[in-house]
Amino acid sequence: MNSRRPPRLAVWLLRSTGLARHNEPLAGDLLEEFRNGRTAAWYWRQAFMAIAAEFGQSLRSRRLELLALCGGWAAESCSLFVWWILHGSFVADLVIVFLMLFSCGAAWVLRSPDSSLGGAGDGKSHGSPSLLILGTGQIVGLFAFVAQGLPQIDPVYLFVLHLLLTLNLLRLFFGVVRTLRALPNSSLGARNPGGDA
Amino acid sequence: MARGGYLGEFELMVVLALIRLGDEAYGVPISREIEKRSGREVAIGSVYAALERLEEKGLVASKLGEPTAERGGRAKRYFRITGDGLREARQTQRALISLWKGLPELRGGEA
Repeated sequence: MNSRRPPRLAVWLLRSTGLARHNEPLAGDLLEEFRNGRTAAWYWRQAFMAIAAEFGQSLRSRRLELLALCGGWAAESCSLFVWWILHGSFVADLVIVFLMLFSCGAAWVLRSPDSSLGGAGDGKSHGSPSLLILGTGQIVGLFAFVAQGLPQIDPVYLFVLHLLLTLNLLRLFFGVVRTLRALPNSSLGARNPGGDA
Repeated sequence: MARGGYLGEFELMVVLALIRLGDEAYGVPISREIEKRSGREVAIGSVYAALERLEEKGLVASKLGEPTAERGGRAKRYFRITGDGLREARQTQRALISLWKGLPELRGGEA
């Protein structure tokens, strides 16, 4: 049996993107072809194209989330802009503070393994760590925001805050949608590994 | 007229390769078949992406084979065309043939 090894970095790339685990037959096909005489350059090309195809596929299956992200971002930007026009600054923006805390808490409560942006969608919990980072980032940011005395807001900081808030609101929206979708067939043992086939 | 849309170019190639290969259709032979017939390098990842879409539409079904050592202990995933898949392929064929007919620009060519 040919035991040629494919380029380590390409194999690592396939593993770290989750592709080798998520789509084992594909990883096996690449290895089989490589051992049948394909070049390292071929393996690299195939690895990149497989990752791109997987990314495209995941975007296609997450159209709702993308729509929510764009819609949420646009709506939030407009509302912040209107607030800025009306008040001249973002100082004492209690709405933002409230939304941040509310979205953090609600997203945490409604967190779902499948609702994580960038999650593998394989039923394992990938949502919590990233949610925790987002939430912690927001709360730390909020304290820093309050501690530095409100008036001077760094635009970069504001942008990051805005981004975090949007992501958390998106998670919240996402959690609500999934919860509502699960309602009609909800039961205590909601996950049935055998499926309904 | 069918409810669903027509198969895309690459999806059609994958379906035709599946029909040609019969029971031995998994990622490697499918991509080789398309490469052989089209003369272009095919990304195995794109073949899987197309097959997943087709499986979601119910045009293709799959099952896992046994893991083998030459594949690093990974199983093959065998695909086969379903009845709906065959129907869809025929319908796409009919539509393409009817569009093809009577075009003076394409007369006498190899296609």
